[in-house]
Amino acid sequence: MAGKGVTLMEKQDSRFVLCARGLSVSFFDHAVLRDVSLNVPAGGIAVLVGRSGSGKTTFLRSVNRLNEEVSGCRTEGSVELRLPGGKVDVWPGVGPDAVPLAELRRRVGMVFQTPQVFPVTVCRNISVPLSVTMGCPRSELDDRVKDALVRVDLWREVADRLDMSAERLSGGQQQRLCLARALALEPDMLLLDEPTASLDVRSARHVEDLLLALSEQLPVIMVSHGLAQSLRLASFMAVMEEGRLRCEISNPDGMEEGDLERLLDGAEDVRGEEAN
Amino acid sequence: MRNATSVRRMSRSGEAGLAMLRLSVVLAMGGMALLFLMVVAFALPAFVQNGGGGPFSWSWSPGHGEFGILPMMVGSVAVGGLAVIPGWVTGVCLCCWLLSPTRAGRPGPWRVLVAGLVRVMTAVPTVVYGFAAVFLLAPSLRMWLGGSGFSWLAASVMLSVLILPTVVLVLQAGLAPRLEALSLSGVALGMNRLELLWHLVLPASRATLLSAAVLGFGRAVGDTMLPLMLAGNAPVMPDSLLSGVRTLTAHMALVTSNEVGGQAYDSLFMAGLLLLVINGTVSLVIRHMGGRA
Repeated sequence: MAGKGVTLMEKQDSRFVLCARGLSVSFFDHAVLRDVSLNVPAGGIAVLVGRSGSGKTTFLRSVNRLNEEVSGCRTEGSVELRLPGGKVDVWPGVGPDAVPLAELRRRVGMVFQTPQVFPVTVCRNISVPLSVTMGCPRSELDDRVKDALVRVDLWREVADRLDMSAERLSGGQQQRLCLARALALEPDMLLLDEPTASLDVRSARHVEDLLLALSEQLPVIMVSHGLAQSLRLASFMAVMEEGRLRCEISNPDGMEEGDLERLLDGAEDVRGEEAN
Repeated sequence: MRNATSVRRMSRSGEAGLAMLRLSVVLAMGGMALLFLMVVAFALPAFVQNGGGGPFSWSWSPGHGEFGILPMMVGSVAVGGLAVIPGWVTGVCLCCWLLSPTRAGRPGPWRVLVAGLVRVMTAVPTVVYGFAAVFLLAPSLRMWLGGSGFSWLAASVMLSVLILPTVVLVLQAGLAPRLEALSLSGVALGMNRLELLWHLVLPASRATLLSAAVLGFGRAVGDTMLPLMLAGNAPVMPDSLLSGVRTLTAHMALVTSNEVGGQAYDSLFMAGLLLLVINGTVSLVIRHMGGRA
């Protein structure tokens, strides 16, 4: 009986790619996330929305434990991932399912708000992390770099400029290079922190199309300030407010910007959302 | 009315500040120009001296009318060059270690201690290093390698220690902001700070690395006390690491304390000019190499 119960629970759990329980994060005793419990379903793009300072980025960074790189960080609760490669105990990260920090961060790729290319060539932006974190043989590097650039539709634009400094690319190209760099490491999941915030409309749409295509291959969790963009991309939404999870929207199809705006302004039950 | 008065007052204080800035620039540039002029003017008599025994000869023997300072020039370059290699390499390694704690912003007690020691080293008088070396390094070299212990090697070893904090602090000032700029994105890919430094920051910081080398070399060539106490002060060309050498700075200190006026005294200005030329040339060559690379 107990065995059947466990099996049923595992089946229910497999619907989720991320399970956070009672997650609280503070920096020098200033609470940024307060007791957040959230299950992110597998498939599609999960979008975190909320006003500035609501804790979206901190939540995202607790998935790859990047908050710990900031002084004075204290994390409580638990975060667990169910990735294609198996279950991963992210935090507290001490059980049998825990993985080394470097491996966790390689498997959970991240792209930041502003393009953060390394001050080296386009090619080395991808090949250095590949050889350092995955030990990729030198003979395979060129092919892997090309594959990554093709995946983000950048190969045609930079094929003859691989030895040029990546800092000379346009903003949109730099952001796609950052995406290619993360994808080259064959992640099991992708975290995106407002990836189109610093791009023009055309470049942003290009990146959005890429993300929709990528979401069919691997789980994507994204922070977005743009309500229209959130509605275009999201298959699941979590609304955050002052460090807490305000509500989850498991099927945002048919929602309009106004509904989401009202939700962010504190309206209750705009469209039958599941209050946390 | 009050606003207009305060604007006039701010404008006056701005003009005064600008005048102070200009005065500082004029004073600094004028001082440098005067220094160069004085050195060149005083060196000229030695420069135009005809016949053998002038400053551009290989023998220093005032009793025989020989005032060659070329052995001292070679001694300065040799001692400085040998000091800067281990000093720079150690400085780069030490700086990378200091900048790469396992968790950002939280250097462990060892890193805090070592960083503090490096800063303290900048304030240690060179004579203290000299005394330590006279009683520890020179006897050790004498025992293990033979000779008197007071040699090119002894002076270079202590000079490499002397320039270490200069190299480390210059490197830290140049590398730390670059590392911070890319550490979050690099760490998010699974790289640690040491890997980021080694593979990405150092290759992109050629100018900083060269500046540290140039400043280290300048500090080593310009130091007087350590070569004076440790190099043996033989005014000859060194034929091994254990042979005594005399640097230009040590030579100037020795001659100044014994001579006033005369050819030997005049040759000191030539020695000063050569020191300036050596430092300037090395700086230009290394920067040119960095630019081409």
